[in-house]
Amino acid sequence: MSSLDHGYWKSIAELDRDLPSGEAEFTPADPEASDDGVDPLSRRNFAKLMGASLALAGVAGAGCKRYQREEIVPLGRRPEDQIPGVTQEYATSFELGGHAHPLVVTSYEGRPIKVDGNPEHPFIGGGVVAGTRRHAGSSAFAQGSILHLYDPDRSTGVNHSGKAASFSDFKTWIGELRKQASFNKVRVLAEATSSPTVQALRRRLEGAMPGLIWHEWEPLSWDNERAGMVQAFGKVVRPIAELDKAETVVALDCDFFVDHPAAVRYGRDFARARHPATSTLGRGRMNRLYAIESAYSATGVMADHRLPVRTEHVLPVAQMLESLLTGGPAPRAEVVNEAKVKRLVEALAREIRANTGRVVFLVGRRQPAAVHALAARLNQTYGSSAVRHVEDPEPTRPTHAEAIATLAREIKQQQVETLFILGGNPVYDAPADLDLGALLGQVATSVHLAEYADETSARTTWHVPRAHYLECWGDGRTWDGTLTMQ
Amino acid sequence: MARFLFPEWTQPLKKYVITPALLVGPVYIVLMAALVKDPQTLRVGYMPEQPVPYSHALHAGEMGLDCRYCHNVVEQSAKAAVPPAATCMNCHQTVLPRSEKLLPVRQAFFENEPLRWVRVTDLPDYVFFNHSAHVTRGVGCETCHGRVDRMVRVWQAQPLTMQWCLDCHRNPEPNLREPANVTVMGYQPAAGEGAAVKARLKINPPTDCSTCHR
Ligand code: HEC
Ligand code: HEC
Ligand code: HEC
Ligand code: HEC
Ligand code: HEC
Repeated sequence: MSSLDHGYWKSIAELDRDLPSGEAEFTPADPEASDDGVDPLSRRNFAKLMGASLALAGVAGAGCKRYQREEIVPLGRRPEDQIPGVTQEYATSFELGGHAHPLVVTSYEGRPIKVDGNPEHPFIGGGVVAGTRRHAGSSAFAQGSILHLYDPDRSTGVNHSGKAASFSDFKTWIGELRKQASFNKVRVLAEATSSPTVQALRRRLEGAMPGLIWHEWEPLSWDNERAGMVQAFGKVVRPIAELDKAETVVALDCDFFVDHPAAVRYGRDFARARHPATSTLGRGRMNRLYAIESAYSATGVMADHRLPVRTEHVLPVAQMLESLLTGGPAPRAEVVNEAKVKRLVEALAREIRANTGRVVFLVGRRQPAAVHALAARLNQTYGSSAVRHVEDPEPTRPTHAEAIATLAREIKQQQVETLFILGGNPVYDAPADLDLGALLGQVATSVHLAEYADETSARTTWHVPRAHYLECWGDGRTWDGTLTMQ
Repeated sequence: MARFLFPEWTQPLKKYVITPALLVGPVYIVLMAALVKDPQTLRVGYMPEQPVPYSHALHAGEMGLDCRYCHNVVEQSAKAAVPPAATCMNCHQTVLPRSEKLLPVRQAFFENEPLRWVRVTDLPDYVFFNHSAHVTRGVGCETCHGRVDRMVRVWQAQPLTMQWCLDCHRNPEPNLREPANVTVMGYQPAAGEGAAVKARLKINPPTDCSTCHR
């Protein structure tokens, strides 16, 4: 029966008929074969009937009252400008890596629901088309930050030695601590912050508890750049690029659209120089972006020319570029003789010479100080009208790596009895060779203030839940130093 | 191809249970449908107990307070909103300052322990409603909430079904009045007032699903 008249396909009936004879013998016994097809008890019909009965039972059960009882719970006193049912917008800022990111938050009856960039902020505000003030970007981190606020995993209570405690227990302990005669063995390990208020509080604390030492540790640190600036200029300054004025932008392992405290501003300025009709470089002109980087980044995606090299080869490639431009000795590293490197660097050198004054070099925070210093020199010569420098607010502080190493040494030398860890998760992100997690065991009492009970909280005596930035007041400074409210 | 097979002993059920069920089923369905439509089910007249024996008949009726003295956001917001305790205390700090019945109001005001009013007019959460869209376009409170000024305790005056909404959205004219008078109770629109308001404000209530289900 396998010869099919129509040739190409089999219907299910034909497939059944083609079964080996042993199985086909079952068919006559199957009641369906002799069925007219309207048996009300087929499985489908049975399920349908059951479903309908259940649904109707539901109607009957809830029939006497349509909806469950709901309550209207108005505030005791309604804030003056709050209209229930209407959203409000307010300006705030979010701090990441010790730099403020200006935001506008939409809130509904007191609950934040949406985060956007602040279009009126002097540093990041204003649209891509120069002169417009309606838009501002925000970063993926800022967008993600609102989810923390509602994260059910956020810690909600004080913990002492792994057991739930109350906030008044904690306050009692602080009261005891304050009665001490000397605070020589009290340390604070804080994450970086640009907040003038926190800095003022720090000074007050240092006054009230003489002997206390405050260390600052930040994993998203730009300390390499600070060191590079010292090599180049003899002092700590902060470079700020004006990408809307740059004809040529060279990113040296720098994902400045994402991983930079001024990323939002840089994105806006970069786009300003790319709009064909309203380009800040002049009508019809566009900037050109070169990315020399070790991993595919958002900046690499945007680049006109991208050179993938290993992280440690960024320095010789940059040195090669400098030697072509200034005539100094060429680096000896192998990589600069590779054809693709040579081609790109030579073309780039020609373009830089042609655009002198309007070239920007940006260096990523993972690159060593030597690359930052080299870029600072090149910016001086070739980017004079597109790069400016501002003072660093804390030019004399030790680097983050030094600070945490000092703390580790003090703990080893039994100089720390009480340690306050304000924010961050140093057990997780401090340099591994310090083994901070094990060292915390040698500190008699340690306190961790954090949004989550994390690796660090597990090693400290106290864990204190921290308010989210959308739940409290504060302030901060953006990369260029603009004061910003939170 | 296989049929759902029931054991042999269920065969009588076919005759004695399923067949009668098929006969009674339609009656059951009709009965349920009627019940769903019944005002009792639709809760017209639903009048829950409130935590404070607040009377609209006294405050809005006898004393003649405007609805917007308390429901002051009704023209700007989707919600009419029940007023905060602070609004009551405007008067009750001096009027009956020690009344037992007002204790929860004072607690809400002084101790921030909010009052929990029971919702009377309740749409399912999948329906979007907007007060300001109605009140600023000349639909009076009374049309949907009844003579609140005569209610000692608020009860539900209208069925709040989809059909009820749509009946008006399809033909709003008889229910329109000058927007200035939306809070007036027992209002009798002048002849042709609805048509005039409709023409002047270009009122055209939408009936597509996404208006109310978004
Ligand atoms: C003195 C303040 C005050 C005034 C004036 C007032 N109300 Fe109210 N209204 C309330 C309070 C408080 C509640 C909540 C308690 C309740 O449901 O009775 C309420 C509830 C209601 C509800 C029921 C809400 C629900 O739960 O569904 C309606 C409808 C209502 N008001 C309409 C009106 C109308 C119409 C007017 C004008 C005629 C008016 N109110 C004037 C204070 C006021
Ligand atoms: C404009 C002033 C005013 C406002 C506003 C007001 N009331 Fe009154 N309330 C009165 C007056 C007047 C009386 C009647 C006093 C009397 O019977 O002697 C009264 C009586 C009452 C009573 C009866 C108390 C008793 O002991 O008999 C309750 C309950 C009450 N109000 C609740 C409220 C609530 C709840 C609010 C806020 C939503 C409110 N009132 C807002 C003026 C006001
Ligand atoms: C078109 C019909 C309509 C009109 C007109 C109307 N309401 Fe409502 N009202 C409703 C519905 C429907 C609800 C239930 C809303 C819900 O469950 O989300 C409601 C709810 C309320 C509530 C409960 C609180 C809230 O915000 O949900 C109050 C109070 C209220 N109305 C007062 C008023 C007042 C005062 C006016 C006149 C100024 C008015 N309403 C006009 C239909 C109406
Ligand atoms: C008595 C008449 C009436 C009733 C009842 C009524 N509406 Fe309306 N509705 C209107 C009018 C009039 C408008 C305004 C149309 C305009 O502005 O053109 C409106 C507008 C709206 C709008 C805003 C549309 C928009 O996008 O501007 C929504 C939403 C709405 N109604 C929902 C409802 C719901 C839900 C119900 C039932 C719970 C309901 N309405 C009952 C008359 C009514
Ligand atoms: C003017 C407002 C309005 C418009 C327009 C509207 N609906 Fe509804 N709808 C309602 C309301 C109010 C309810 C709740 C009825 C109730 O609680 O019984 C509802 C309920 C429903 C339900 C649930 C019924 C139930 O019993 O569970 C469905 C389904 C539905 N609507 C579909 C639609 C579709 C489809 C459209 C477009 C053709 C539409 N609606 C347009 C107001 C509206």
